[in-house]
Amino acid sequence: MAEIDFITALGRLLRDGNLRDVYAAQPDTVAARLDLRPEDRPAFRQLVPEDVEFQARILLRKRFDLVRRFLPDTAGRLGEKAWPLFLEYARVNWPAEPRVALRDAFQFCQRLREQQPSLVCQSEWNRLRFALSERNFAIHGQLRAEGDGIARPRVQIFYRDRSRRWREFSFSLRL
Amino acid sequence: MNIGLGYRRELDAWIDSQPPDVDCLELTAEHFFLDGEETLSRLAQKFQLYVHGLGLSLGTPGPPDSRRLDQFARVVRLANPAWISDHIAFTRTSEADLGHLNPVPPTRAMLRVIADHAREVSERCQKPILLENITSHLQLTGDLSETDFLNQLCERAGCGLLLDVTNLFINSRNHGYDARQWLHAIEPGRITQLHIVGYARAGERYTDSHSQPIQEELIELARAVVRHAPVQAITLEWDEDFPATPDLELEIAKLKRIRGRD
Repeated sequence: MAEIDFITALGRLLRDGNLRDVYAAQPDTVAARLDLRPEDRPAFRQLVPEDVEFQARILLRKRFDLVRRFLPDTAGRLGEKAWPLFLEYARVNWPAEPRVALRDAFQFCQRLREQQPSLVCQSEWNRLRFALSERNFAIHGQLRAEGDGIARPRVQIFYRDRSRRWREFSFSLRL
Repeated sequence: MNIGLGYRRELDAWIDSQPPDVDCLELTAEHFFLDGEETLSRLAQKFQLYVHGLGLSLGTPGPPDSRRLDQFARVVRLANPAWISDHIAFTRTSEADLGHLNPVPPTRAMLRVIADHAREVSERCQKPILLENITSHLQLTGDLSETDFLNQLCERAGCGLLLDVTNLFINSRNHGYDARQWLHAIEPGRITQLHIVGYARAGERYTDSHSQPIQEELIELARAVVRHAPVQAITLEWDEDFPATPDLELEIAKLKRIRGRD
């Protein structure tokens, strides 16, 4: 394994809550585990764990703000629990590129569906799945989709055009 | 000295009315990466523009992200700003995009990385570049003091400094140093533009929420900067919880007080 520089090491620390926990107790162990260049180790050892955690929280909050844009209804259902639940998921999960925010929203939703499925808006989940897929077409039906405080049957249709841009059409049925 | 603000779509209606005290706008390049040609051309006809980047990640060792640089250069071409700027920071590593600004250590090695990247961006865009100090909750150490690092960085990169007065104030409070002493250690001729917005508090810490009215201490500090350096522009950097028009006008009036002719 090649040695890494200070910026790469700090980046790993900021992305990984578990690594930060180990760093707080044993900074030298983490420097060695990361194979940090010897010339960068003094600066790395001087990082204050509380400050690293604070900086990491700033990055997590930025992620949360982006994820919320994909999940307005789900975030509304979660209310004040949204941030602590996101924090629990995001502190030890960092989404891969490309389309980081979309992938982040998908993975957060996936986690929520395992823990509290009723709090995930099905329409938003369908949208995320299609956006991340390579599919050209999808259709989803729900018997009771929430909208304006009323549950109605709802159909969502997604398709991709030749430029690979996707569109969504949806309609609710009044019975 | 030009007075202005960061252009945000939420403020479009007010900006479009051409407020008499607003001379310039600072555009965030990333907001126009995918579209916005029409808006850029409309704004360029009415205001002096500056293009500000958030994610060129000048502090990341290695070559710059060529796709981002292409997108940034496209916005610069469309806006034809007086200058461009980005931060003394990294937002990505060789392994991942971190999505936001992070501090760099004040070392000679880092100085070379940022200066080389800044020169490359400036040459690519054919515009002068300014580098901005960030808020940092980490106090990183290196073989230079922060002020020596900034002076030498500007010298090596042949660039100016975009001094964020709020960030200077926040860092001085969080890390316990004198902001005016720091200011007087900076080569005045490099300070070209100022950013300002009110600070916020999170427990013991000062933070930059970009959503608070400018406090009196910040006005005093900004006035000290203007007395110290030939500042050419000052821009309000409001990003969240946008105020109503009368409140926005009050903030612009504070910038006029900082300029000192009003």
